Amino acid sequence: MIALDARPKLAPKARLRVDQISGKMLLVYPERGLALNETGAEILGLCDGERRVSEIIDALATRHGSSSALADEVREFLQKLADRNLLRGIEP
Amino acid sequence: MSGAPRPYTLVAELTYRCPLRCVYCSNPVHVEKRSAELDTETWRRVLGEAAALGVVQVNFSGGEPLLRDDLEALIAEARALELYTSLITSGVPLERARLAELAKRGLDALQLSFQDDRGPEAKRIAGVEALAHKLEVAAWVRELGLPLTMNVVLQRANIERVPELVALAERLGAERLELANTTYLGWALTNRDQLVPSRAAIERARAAARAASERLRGRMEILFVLPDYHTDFPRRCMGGWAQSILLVAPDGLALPCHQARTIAGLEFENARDRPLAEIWSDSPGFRAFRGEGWMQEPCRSCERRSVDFGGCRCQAFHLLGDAAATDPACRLSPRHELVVAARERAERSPASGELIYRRAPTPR
Repeated sequence: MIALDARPKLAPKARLRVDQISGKMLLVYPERGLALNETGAEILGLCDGERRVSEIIDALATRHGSSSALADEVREFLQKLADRNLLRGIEP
Repeated sequence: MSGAPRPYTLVAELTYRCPLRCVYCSNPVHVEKRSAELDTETWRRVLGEAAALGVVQVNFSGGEPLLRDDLEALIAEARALELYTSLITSGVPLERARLAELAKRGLDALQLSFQDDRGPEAKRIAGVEALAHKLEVAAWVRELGLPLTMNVVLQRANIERVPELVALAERLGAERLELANTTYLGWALTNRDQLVPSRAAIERARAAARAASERLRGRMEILFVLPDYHTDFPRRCMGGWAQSILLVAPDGLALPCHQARTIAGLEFENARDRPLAEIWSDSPGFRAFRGEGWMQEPCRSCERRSVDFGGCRCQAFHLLGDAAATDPACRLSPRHELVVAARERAERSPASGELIYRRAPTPR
């Protein structure tokens, strides 16, 4: 699982954009795309290559209230993107 | 991505012309009649209509899209529409300066085809010498900072090369490797006896691809596509007929897939004549096999009908003459023996048999 002190940001090949049909955020990358839910879009919005994963989790907890599952959810989501080679700044 | 049918991807087949003559080419062998390629202005309009319809990705493809000298303009147009643009190319003919210009105009990604990691074997499949140039192109792609997908269509002569192909992809810095077994339509159907690999070879290739995928997780994505002739169940062709992909052919015909125009009796419309949104929702050809209403038994009551949608309509048409039949790649098809027989015939065919090289589609 992605380290808490990693400072992720989106790989240059991936682009975030608003879907004109649904209004949701889409993550598009070579020959694929992912429709993001609100939390996913919010997490990626915080991935600026400066914030650590732990800080992203804290920021979300501040906004929406802390929960025991939050940290795992964020790390699982980011790990999924990392497995698809869509994140940078995650090497230990 | 799910919900009501809506095209996320536009495949813009800019031309059927190509310097390569690959024996597995998925372009149609014949078209109804020769008609001119769309001009730049019409392609611009098509891109705009596609974006309005919800398309977020455009794959410039062909034939060889580099043969269009308005490729730069079309990439710039797509980028201005916020479309994610990929170039699906053989890399021939391409010079570094042109690639740099394409990147500057907004090209997001490039998919480069390889036939084999060995020069003579690659030439035997492509019909022309191209490997050395492709290696050069791949190096430029990385120098220019574009993400590289390496695509290899697998068939009998290269399926044992998966470890070497993975090594080549690593050396070239590819972020994605597609190892896609041949789909036996178009020129591949013409050459089927020479191309279908043995089940044992497929299993070895699959194991090698799986091991490489584990080893390279997070660095390179490896996609291994099994051949439907060997899977017992049909492939999820295009994610379902007219569900998420829209293709516009070189002459403007709007289609749900590369081969759909070869199904006799289906009526397709031209993007020159009607807006894409209307074609997508109303065109008889698009509606023909959308959803499940068209299905016959055994598909109609099959649990898997929402998984694979009855398979490939073009394959049903070309092997059985009935586009609404269950894809004979399915072991539940009453005509599955045709696929089994084709597999066995291929296994008996000599490895060095004659190949028929692709030509641009001829008018029927």
